[in-house]
Amino acid sequence: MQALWFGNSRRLVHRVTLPLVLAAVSVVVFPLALDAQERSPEQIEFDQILPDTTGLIVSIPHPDQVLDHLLSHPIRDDLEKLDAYQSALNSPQALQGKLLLGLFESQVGMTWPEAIKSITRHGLYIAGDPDHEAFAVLMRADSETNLRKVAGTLLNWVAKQAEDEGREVPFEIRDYRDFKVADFGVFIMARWKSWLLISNRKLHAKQIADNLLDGAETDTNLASANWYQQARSLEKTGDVWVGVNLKSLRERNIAQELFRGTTDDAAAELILGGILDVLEDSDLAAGQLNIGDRIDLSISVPLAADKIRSVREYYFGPELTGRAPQPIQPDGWIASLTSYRDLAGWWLSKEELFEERVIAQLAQTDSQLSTIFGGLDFGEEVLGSVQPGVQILAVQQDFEATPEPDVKLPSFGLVARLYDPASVRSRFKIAFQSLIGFINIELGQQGQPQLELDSDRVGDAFITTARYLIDQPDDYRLMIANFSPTIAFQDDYLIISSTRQLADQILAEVRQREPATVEANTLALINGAALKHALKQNAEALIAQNMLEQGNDRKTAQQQIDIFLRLLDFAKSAAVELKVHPNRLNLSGSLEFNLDE
Amino acid sequence: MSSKRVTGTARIEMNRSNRWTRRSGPRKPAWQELSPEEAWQPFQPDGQNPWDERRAMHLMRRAAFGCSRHDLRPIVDQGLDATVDWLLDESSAVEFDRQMEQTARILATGNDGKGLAAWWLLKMVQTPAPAIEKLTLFWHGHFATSHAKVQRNKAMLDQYRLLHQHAAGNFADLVHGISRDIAMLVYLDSTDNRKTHPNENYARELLELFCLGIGNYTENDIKQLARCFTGWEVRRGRFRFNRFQHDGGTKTLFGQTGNFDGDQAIDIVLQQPAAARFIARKLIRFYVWDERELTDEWVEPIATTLRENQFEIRPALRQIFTSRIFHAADTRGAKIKSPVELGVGVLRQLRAAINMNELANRMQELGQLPFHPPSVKGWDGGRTWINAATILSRANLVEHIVRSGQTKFADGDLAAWYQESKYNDVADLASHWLAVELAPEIIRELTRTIPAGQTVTPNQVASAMTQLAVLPEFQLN
Repeated sequence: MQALWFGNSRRLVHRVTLPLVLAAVSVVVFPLALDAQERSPEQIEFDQILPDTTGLIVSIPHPDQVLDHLLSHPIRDDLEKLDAYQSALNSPQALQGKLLLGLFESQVGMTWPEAIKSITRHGLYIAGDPDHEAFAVLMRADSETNLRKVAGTLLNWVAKQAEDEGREVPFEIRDYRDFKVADFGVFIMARWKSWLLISNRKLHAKQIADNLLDGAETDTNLASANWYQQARSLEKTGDVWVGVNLKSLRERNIAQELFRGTTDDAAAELILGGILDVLEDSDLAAGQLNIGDRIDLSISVPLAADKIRSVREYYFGPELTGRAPQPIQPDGWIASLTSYRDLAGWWLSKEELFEERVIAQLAQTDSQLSTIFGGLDFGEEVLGSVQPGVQILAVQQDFEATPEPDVKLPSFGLVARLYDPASVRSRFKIAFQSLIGFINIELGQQGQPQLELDSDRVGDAFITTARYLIDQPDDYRLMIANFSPTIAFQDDYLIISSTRQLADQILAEVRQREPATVEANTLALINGAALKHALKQNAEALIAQNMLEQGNDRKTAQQQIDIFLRLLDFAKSAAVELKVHPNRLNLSGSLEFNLDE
Repeated sequence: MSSKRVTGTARIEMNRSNRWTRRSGPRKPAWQELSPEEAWQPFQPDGQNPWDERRAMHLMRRAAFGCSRHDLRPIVDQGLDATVDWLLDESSAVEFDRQMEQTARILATGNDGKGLAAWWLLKMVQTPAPAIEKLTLFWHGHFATSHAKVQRNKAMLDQYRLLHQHAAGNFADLVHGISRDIAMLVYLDSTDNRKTHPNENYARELLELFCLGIGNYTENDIKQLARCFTGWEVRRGRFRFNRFQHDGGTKTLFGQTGNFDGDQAIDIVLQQPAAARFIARKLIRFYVWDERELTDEWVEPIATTLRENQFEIRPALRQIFTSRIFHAADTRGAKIKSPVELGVGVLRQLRAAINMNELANRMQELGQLPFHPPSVKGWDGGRTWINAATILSRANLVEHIVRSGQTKFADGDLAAWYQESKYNDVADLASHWLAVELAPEIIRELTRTIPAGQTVTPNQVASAMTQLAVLPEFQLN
């Protein structure tokens, strides 16, 4: 009987007229199951029927609740009030879609959300099997009747569409044991009672189908897989739960970049180096996504301290204790990244972290920077004078003091702390002056406005600022008006910023606080309102980009940018943090919405 | 390539039912039948040679970038004179130009030359004054300057503004302006011109390429002219006259002697009889014929108009666009579409929009990226636009426009555009799109793409357009 499953197919709907096709589909696919089965669909767990070769599993135990969350989300009302939403809803394409949806709803006797909720009521599961290059989608409906109705309607549509276009109906109908199967060639769709199975590999589908009907041997199903059990303990079940067998991916050379343990980009190493180190030896990863008034994502991998390369101590700190500084958030902050990084350790370990080409580039940079720093060794003496823990931030800039430039960039700043400020402060200041001197020579050769240096002391702070010497009012329109590069020192703080304005703001903040750290190794934050303000300031640049990329006229481009900015109204904040626990590494992210506006 | 089809013995005329018919029998081409004086006389439409869609589309293709059939109807209704008035009037684009200028200011802050080209292409596609934009493109080819060397968007945009402002204005103003233009001076290595070592680059190009042409000046004229320009410098991105470096001595230029400065020297150059002929010849080549031998007697009527109007461009163009020779049947299809005419023309005629950066890439592939002429001589044009590689790329461009899912059509889709254009059939479509008549067997072949009596689908129209685009006739203007 199993041999019949995919071998002796009967092409029932080949070259027949539409009425016959529809009749065949209705009669053959959707009769009630003939016999009462020994196994009840309600008794079966998805992880008991998936094979233990499964390497990726996405589990949504209650899709109806997720859909309800999405459809009743407060943002939805706001979105629907947008003019753009309303006009899109009345576009010919949308009206045609609505018509089809109405037809579908009348045929199944349910609204489309009800139909989706009904056929996935008891879970939606997506599984990937790298061994067999197969995927499977499993769902369990609230009733066999509803599943039959929805699936039947969809198949009828596909058949009718093909008939209308003069094509062959793209699937064949057949039985496999108690399953009713629609075989599309590149994938199959099979139904048994309230279970629906879709897969791209017939043998894979057969194994799952047999497990559903007969029950899998307990030592060959996913539930018994060691990696899966560990993954389950790493992250609790959320609205969506994901487990990945990294070992199996690694063994099959899938996503090799993830498991190399290194990157050839020095900046990427600073951000991702530690994560790559852990992934290199991790056998599994687990994640959960929760959708409510806010969206939260959490991904964890097991962490074995003894397997982390010593060279990555710059990243995690001694015995994984490195923690990021408490972020400074001056008025108008747009984005902030704080992290524990021992920059000297990173720089001095370059031979172990990078390949020859990158090492050669860094060695050249080392030599140039050592020159700028008056012969000090850049890694040992310059970066070595900076404490681990840095913050990079972007902050809104106002242009009240000067005519506005055409492109309005935010200010960017870097904040760090020095071990012994008194001994190195002057070195940093001289290096800054030298750098400005080099830039001035280059600007002079190009006939561009040059930078004038000015040092002053405000309270306990030492500040050196370079400002463009602009003698043509027209030059203010250029991007140079965005810059007044500054280096400042307050206590043990070192501040480097693209504008004097930001340096003053940071100085005001550090004066009022004691240095502190957060729980995370790395923390990235985005302020939705400030981001929108910055983009709004540059609406003209966004419009220009839209016109050129879309070929739109100005009015259309303006409308599209307005919609984009309106949508940003809904984003309140976003955060990503990397936390190091004794036995796991956790990356989490959250997105908060403005629910009151 | 298809010149036989265009200038051969068969001639094509419109019958009373507004359809094109081919009349056999030998007949001389119009440029042989008419004397130069007669050729540039105003065209008078009559029963046999009416002002109709065919002639209106010819004018729109040559003076601008063509137009959709939807936009053609009012042009036919208003007549030739009113259409030429409208084409040469930039006032309809004042608000549009202001809006595009806002976008240009953003581009001026960077140095992305291809982005700049995309911006100009967008302007050509959308402007309500397409003839002015095309005229600006003509001057860009005449006073050729490339971003590849200048490397500054702001300077290139300033030059564009100068060319655009004076496009249909006064040629003398253009020459005076371009002589101080930063992009031009940088491009010709003329940012320094000291009295001890006069830089002859700009002087040479001014005489050879901009005002007179080879054979109408001597080496001594170049040397004397270079002395007049001494002290004209670029400093910190701006033009400056350095009186300490100006040669204040006496110069003798084209028989006139005096202590001339650069501006006075330009006026002397423009007084030469060859100057008006040189510009007239270039205008005729750009708007009327690519390759026909243009003797002085053929050029002189337009040159005279230029002289009589102190080098105002508009009257000369009016004379060209309303002339008997311009509207003669065998003038149609006597030019090869440049890549910009092709790309911008297809978009305007289809009322379509695509990614302009992508269009700029295609223009580069086809050999005409705006702001990037190949040399100070500009683009050679004519037959050089076509070779084995570009003919394929041209067809691919049209196919990309009609088949890409990213293309947006003002009428919704290609089928709606076809219906809005009120094309009766594929022959009607070809008649609107092509400058020359197609052979009946080709029409029959094309008709298969849109069978009569069926509801037209976007795919059918796309097929018709791609088949049209591979025809040699499609490349003619």
